[in-house]
Amino acid sequence: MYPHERSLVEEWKNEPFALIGVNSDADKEKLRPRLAEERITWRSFWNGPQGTSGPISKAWKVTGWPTVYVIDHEGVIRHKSHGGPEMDKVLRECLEAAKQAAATAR
Amino acid sequence: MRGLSHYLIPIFLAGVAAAQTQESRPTSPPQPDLEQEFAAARARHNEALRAASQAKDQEALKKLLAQNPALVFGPRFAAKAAEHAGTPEAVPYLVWMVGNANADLGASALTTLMEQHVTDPRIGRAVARLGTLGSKIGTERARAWAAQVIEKNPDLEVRMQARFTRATMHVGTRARERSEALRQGAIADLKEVLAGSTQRSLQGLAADLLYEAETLEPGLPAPEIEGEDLDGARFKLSEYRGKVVLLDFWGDW
Repeated sequence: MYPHERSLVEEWKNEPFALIGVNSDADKEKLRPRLAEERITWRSFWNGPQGTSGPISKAWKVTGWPTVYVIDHEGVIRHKSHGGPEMDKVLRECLEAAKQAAATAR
Repeated sequence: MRGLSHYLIPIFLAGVAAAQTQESRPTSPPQPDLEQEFAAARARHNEALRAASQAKDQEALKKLLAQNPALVFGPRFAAKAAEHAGTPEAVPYLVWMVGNANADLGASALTTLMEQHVTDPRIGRAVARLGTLGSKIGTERARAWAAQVIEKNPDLEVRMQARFTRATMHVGTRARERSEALRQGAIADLKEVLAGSTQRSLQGLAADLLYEAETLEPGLPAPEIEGEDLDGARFKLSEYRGKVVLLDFWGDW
């Protein structure tokens, strides 16, 4: 998934878009060199030392990885899945809506 | 059954061939139980896989993976089901196929079960796969079959399983189709499972999915997340209001 995530972050760096991770690696120190290797520049919450049973994934009932949610500019969930073309489609629709809302507000 | 028996003949022959090449079979068991034989074969296979992986023998591993017992036994179960076609004796073989055989055999076994054995109390394990086999059989058909099971099956737990499976088609990360009406239907189904099922594991799954259906579905406001990033700095999800957020639960493994 890293290449796809990197390309989204790159493509939409000047758009109202943020990729926010919830990282479920139990060992943060082991992860640190991997962030540089894989050029993971986006911000992540850390799910804590319990790894996949940490509090954030528990609160969001996540049982499979990766799990993705698309949240629009108003904070409303628009999509949930384990990734795929539908996710990209919804992201694009949401970006359009966010830009239109910003334009009308101006 | 017409379409199925048509192509069961060649795989029946393949099944016989597979049976003859099976090593270390009991010589003449009084009542050969295919399920027990499969369980034993799978145990042996897992043991061989473990040994090959410990020895880092790539060649043997590749060979073993191609001989997955679930695939080897599929045609044999299909042959048994065909032998008992239309009778209750076929049901355990068909149920096994839905749970273990490849997607094609699984989908045709599920079709037979739903068309001929929808009132059989032993179909629970097959009903559980209505959702995952949905891409093979079509969401519309899967939904209609779940409704039939709920209406006609005499076994309470089978009906509860059908309600839970129907809910997974409409809410959660693996939902195949969503709408507000389907979400409300899923909530009603899951509440029935919580009230009616006596199976703890199903109740636990239903409770989690009900929470998802009521708080984490598209159209609902995202719950707040407050936590720290990988450098220990605290932040909140709501700080990104105004932007489209792709929230990605990930791990580097």
